[in-house]
Amino acid sequence: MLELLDFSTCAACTSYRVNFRMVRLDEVEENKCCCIRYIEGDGISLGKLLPLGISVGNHIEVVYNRRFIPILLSIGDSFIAVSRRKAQTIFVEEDGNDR
Amino acid sequence: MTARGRRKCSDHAQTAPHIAIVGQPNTGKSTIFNLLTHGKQHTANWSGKTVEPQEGVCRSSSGETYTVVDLPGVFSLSPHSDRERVACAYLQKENPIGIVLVLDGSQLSRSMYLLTDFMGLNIPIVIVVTMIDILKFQRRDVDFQKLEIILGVPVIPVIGTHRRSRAKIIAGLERLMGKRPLLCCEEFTAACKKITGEGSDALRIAGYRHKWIRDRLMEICACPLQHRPLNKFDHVALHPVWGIILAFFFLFSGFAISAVVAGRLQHFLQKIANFGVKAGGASGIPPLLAEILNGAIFPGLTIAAYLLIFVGVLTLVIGIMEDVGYVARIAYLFDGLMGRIGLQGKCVIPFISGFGCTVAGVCGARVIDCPHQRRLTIAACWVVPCSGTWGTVGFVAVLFFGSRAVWVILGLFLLMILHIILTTRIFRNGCRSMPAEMLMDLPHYHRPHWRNIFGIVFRQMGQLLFKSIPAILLTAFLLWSFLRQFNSMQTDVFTNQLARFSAIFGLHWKLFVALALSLINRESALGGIAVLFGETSYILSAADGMLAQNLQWASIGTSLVKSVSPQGALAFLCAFFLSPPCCAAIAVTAHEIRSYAWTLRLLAYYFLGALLAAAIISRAASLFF
Repeated sequence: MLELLDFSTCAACTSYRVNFRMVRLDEVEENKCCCIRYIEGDGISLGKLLPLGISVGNHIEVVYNRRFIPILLSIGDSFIAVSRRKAQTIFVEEDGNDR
Repeated sequence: MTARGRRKCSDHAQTAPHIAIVGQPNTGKSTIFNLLTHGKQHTANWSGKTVEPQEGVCRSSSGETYTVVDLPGVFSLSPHSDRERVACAYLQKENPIGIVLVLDGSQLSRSMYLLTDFMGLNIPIVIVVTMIDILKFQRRDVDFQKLEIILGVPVIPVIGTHRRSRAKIIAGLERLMGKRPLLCCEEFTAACKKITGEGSDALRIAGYRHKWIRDRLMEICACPLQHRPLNKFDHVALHPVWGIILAFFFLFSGFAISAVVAGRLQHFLQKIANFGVKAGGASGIPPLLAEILNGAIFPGLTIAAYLLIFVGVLTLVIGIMEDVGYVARIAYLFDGLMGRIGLQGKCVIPFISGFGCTVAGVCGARVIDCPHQRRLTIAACWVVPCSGTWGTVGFVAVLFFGSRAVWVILGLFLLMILHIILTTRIFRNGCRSMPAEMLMDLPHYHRPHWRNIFGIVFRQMGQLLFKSIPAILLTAFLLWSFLRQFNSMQTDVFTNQLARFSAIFGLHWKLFVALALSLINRESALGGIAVLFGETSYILSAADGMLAQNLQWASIGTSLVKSVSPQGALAFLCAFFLSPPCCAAIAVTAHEIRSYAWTLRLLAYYFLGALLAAAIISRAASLFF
């Protein structure tokens, strides 16, 4: 388990800070904005996530979250596909508003 | 390039200063490498295409020579996969004199993460920003001159496929060698030292790095970074149902078009070959030469031409899918299905490469980080039919089943899927609990680069022409010479015994010989079929012990249809489809897996499995034919 970091503000989503709740990434609905707050895993799995932009404090949007296919995230100007099992190790603050 | 030219390059490479091209996967490093060195590295729009460092020589207009090294893509200088270890090991051991850091201009927020790894390192750097055409298409205005001032190193925006970008990059290399610019930002370095000094972990440093990147992008981008919408085509291409249907449609269309075009051409070439035989007989050429031509060369050439066209069209279709960026979407769609057999979506990528050549498929498995999944992928990849397999299968299927050949090929495709499922279960080795996790970036679509695509097609056809077709002709000639040694009685004894053995598996003895020859080289099966079924009067009148005066050509196709039943043809197609790949692919597998024992087990499994499947299919087909 990794230490939870205190990012009380997120530069990308301060304007959306309404109705936040902490959830697992695979439970976020489609077309929702969220901010990564916590990532489980060892150094090896972190080393694969961090360069792709899946890092605490980064703002992401869930494009697709459907059964049988990986979760599709929009991070900055990239699209990243994350398997559902990996997404269970990522915890986010979900914005209550739609994108 | 001639052998002399290659030796010259190698000599230059040892003395000229080494410059490494580094960047994240799928940023255009190999494209830049090809541009600088006039090389012919295979490029495609998905991550992980380059698996080994490639060297080339680049000459500037002033006569300076540089050795340029194209490294596999790395996400950071802390490697977490074999490809990344290869690249990082090169940077540590070879100490290149400078680095060309390639950033993807359309995905700067992600590309610049690797740039932060080079902050404060004592290696001169030049930054090349690619995909500028996509950036313009996205209507994003980025001030690269400002970025150059911020970073203190040259920043060169280019479109990698444009030849005029070469001069700009070479000017950057000259600045690299002259001024030796170092990437540094005191604020960044000081902040990282402070975070490290506080005993903090990778997450805080990564968080700071991403924040630093966002702040720099806010400074150089005219409009704030926004999440870009999903491409309209992707709404269909990434749909869990329609996307898979679309993927199968594209793949099957490719095979169908290849088979139809090649079949029409083969029919035309058959007529030319028949005319050539008659003309040869009438012109009074020496009988032995006529026999060699009719018995070995003409049959081999006819089939080789068919193979050339089939492979060319198939490579074109797959090349377009790779180049535009569709292959990564296929990997995304199939992740769920692959997960059920213990693999991940990325395993589809070596399978697609394997359609061209099994060696490429085996090497392509390096994109998979998990060693166990890589081993399983290689084991399953053997069954993916390479171009040589498709050539033979297409020829026999069209010959026996005409318009219904498409259904036969569809059936073989389904058989391949069943075989992959069975192989992964058998070779899983008790690692059932190994999670199959995929983490992959989706590349942007871009218009096909036709020069790249046709370059790949012609290279593949050239490889076929200069490697495989001589193998077909040589096999045809050796087989013809071998058969010529025996008199009719010896031939009959041998063929009778072989016929009894091969009948167990529902195979005609000649097709069994062709199947055995395919272990040398897949295309050799065609050479064997050409000789064994391309009957000449010599073989027909062998009982007379006389060389026939008037050589008559019987087309291979007619002879095949006369000698082999439809169920026998099906049994051969099944056995050939499921049999082991060529010896080159077997050797590469042993090298990749680092285990000869495991490779031999896999070889035995495939060979016995192919014969068993042939026996079953032959008997099942007897109920219908």
